[in-house]
Amino acid sequence: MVPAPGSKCSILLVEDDLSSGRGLAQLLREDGYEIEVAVDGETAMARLGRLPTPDVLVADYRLPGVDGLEVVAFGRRLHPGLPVVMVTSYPEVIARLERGAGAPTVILSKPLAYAELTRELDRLCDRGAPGESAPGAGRTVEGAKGR
Amino acid sequence: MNEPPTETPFEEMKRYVRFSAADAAALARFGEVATSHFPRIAAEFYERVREHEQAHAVFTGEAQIERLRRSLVRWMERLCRGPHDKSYYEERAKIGRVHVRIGLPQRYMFTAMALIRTAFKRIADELPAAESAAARDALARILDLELAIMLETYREDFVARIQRVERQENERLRRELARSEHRYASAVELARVLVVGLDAAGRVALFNQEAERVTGYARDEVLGGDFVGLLLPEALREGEGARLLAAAAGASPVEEVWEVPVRARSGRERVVRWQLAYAGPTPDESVALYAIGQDVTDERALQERTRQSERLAAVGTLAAGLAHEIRNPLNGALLHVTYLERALKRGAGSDDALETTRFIGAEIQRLSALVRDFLVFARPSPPRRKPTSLQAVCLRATTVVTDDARRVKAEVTTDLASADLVVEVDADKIEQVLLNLLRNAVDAVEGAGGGHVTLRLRRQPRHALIEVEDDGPGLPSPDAPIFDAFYSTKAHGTGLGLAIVHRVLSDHGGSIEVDSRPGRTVFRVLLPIGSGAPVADAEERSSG
Repeated sequence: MVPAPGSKCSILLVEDDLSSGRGLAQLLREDGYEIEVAVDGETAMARLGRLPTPDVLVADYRLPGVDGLEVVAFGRRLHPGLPVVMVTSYPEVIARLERGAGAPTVILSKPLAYAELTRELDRLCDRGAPGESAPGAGRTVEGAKGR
Repeated sequence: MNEPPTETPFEEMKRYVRFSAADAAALARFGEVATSHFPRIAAEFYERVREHEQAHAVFTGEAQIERLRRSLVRWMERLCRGPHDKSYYEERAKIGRVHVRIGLPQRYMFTAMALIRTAFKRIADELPAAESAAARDALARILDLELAIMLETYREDFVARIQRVERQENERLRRELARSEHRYASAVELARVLVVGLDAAGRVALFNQEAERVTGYARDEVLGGDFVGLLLPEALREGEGARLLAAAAGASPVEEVWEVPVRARSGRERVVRWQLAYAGPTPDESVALYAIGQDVTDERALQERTRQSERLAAVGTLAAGLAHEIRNPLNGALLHVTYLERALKRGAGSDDALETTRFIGAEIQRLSALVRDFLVFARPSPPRRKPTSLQAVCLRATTVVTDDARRVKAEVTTDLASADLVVEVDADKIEQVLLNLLRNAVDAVEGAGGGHVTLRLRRQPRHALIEVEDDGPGLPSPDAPIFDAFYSTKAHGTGLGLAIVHRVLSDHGGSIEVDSRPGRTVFRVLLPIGSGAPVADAEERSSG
């Protein structure tokens, strides 16, 4: 689970729920990921405008103000092919997210199954630098299933 | 007063005009002189008739007129000669009836008689003075008698005609009445409303086909029976039943609309909306109170379902909002518990503490499953249909439950159709359906200490048939509302699994039914195989 030293996977986490954001950041950091947390869409956009570009964007769909899809769209305009994990507690919007977010996007539903998330993050980080095209449309993984 | 009781109408007429033997003798003497004039008089008579269209119209031709002339001569001869007895009357009446039959208007009978009277008078005037007066008197009397006889035949005819018309009219009325009664009877019989009549004592006096259909009782079973006792549910007999009886007896005004459950023969209750009409006090056993009813059971049930689903939708919207809000704290809690578990492991915390942490994690998972199921149920998304291999979906679902099944000694086997079955469905949702059914089946045999679960897939002409069978103890009751939300027989069930199954299948135009007895429970899912183009090269087939 822990990436090899020197090849740390950097993640920008956009999460307005402080408890979730902190808990997730804590776990991911322990597991060797490089984490930055933005508590709203505007902050996340501002960070995406600076270098270095994160390897993966993990965004909650529902955010105060600018929503997760807009953050993803903004990130993809700056960095085409940016790997994205979208997190939502609204299963009915998954279809819309799949259409709106473009590839490569993984959609996870809340509450997050941590192991599921890290598996997806490792896969997305392994794929290499942003910009490299990835096959296949978004994939849906129902969180917290069959543990 | 003093007439003999045997006097005939002719004798009575003769007595009235004082026609005597002397008159008969005078006529005989007159006849001797007049006979030679008769052919001339008859000729004149028919010449006159020719001048009058309506009189002439009754003749058929010259030959007939010739015959009639001769018979008029004989008539005049008989008039003079007599005897003026019963046979005379009958002969005259017969001639009169011929006039009636051929439709000679009465006025021509009078004017013709006047013509003969004038001709005779002239002859009588020629007679010697002594004879002349007697002949004139006798002629006046006999000719009046002739008129009286003729009129009598016309009267007979009128009476007969009137009777005939009356008979016809009566017949027509009778037929009309029968027809209209038949119409009413048919209307009552065939109407798609219940028509029930009660006598003043509340006994059934009328019971139509629809009433038979709705209640399941045959007419002869209820006619004469006590309506309230036969057809009202026990609980309503005292209140509603008593009110109905009072209305039938005329003791209280009827409520015009009366909605009440009726107990059918099978024991089932049907809600009937009655319109009551009081016919007034009547002799025994005829209908005093008409009740026209409509079976509104289905209508009411539909209204109730609509109300319920509206309520559910309102509650659902609120609850769905709440469920969303619960997911964030759940998410936070789960992540923190994951962290805590890890920290305890690392710090060599007590096994108890670690176990407790795991327990909290499992509980959060359970809570989150409930929230997820609830959202799927309360806010279903429309199916995203794609050509899908049902074999593949069945295998995926089986793989998911196999580990759980093995743990509880449930053996899951698949029995799939040999040819691939590709149907346009939402693969994720159908997999969810199969998972829910398989998990239920595994849970069912777990309670029995293990057993077998079979997932079967078959092609039918228009449907794909998927069966999930287990040899567990079966459903507690065949009527259990297992497809209703929040109905559960399991200690840890959310009560949403089958509700979701039902909803997903309805969304797909499919259906589900269950057949359960101890030792064998089968859920049968039917999914329509669309009429769309062949979808043999479905992506599902390659991706599995």
